[in-house]
Amino acid sequence: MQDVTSKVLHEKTGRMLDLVKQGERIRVFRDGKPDAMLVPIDDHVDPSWDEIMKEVRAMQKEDGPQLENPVLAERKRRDYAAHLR
Amino acid sequence: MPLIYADTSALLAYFHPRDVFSRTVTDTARAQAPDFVYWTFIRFELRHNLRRARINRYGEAAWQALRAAEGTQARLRWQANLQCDSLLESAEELSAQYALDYGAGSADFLHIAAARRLAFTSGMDEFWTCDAAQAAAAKVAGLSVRLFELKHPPAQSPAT
Repeated sequence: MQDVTSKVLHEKTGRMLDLVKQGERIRVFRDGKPDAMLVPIDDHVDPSWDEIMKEVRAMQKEDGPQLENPVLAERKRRDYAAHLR
Repeated sequence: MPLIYADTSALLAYFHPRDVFSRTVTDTARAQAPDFVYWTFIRFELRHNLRRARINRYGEAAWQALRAAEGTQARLRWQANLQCDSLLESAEELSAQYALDYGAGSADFLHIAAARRLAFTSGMDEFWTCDAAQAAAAKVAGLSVRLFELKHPPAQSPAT
């Protein structure tokens, strides 16, 4: 992995992209801090948390019945059974 | 970014969009942007309950989100040092102390033992649960606890 500043990236964009195309990963620094990563297109890039939770969050906003928390339901049943003993 | 031990009731509510606690857990998570403790027992318990929820599109969405989250390990911080064998010993000690006084079950004490181990070793910030008995036991065991409660409990009809 190579580290470059955003200024170098700006000045040598083509060269940097060529390196990435050859498999190099490049970390881009701005104001002394890592800000971004250039990775080859074939590399696996993790989805963001917002992407992962997008459908769940959309469904949260739908109207309709809600589900009793199954973990609590199981605990309640266990507690009830304990009282029977 | 705080490290939160969310027990399975809270983590399930975070992933399942129709869980009664879903919105309150999500709102709190949005405000704090925490990482969640993840280890073999939570993984087993959470997967088990979400597998059983895959009977409709809500449960399926929750399952797919969990599997994607496990793939990235963003937010779900795998704790390789939490091992069931040694934690069962700690849970047994907690049970011996508190079993009669608190309504928490055997698995609940395992969660508390794991959270305490992390709190002592690597700085776990808060214990989240939707279960009042679990919260009470966790508190007396010395953990900083957030209990999620419903202001308006919903009608009994479950989502299908």
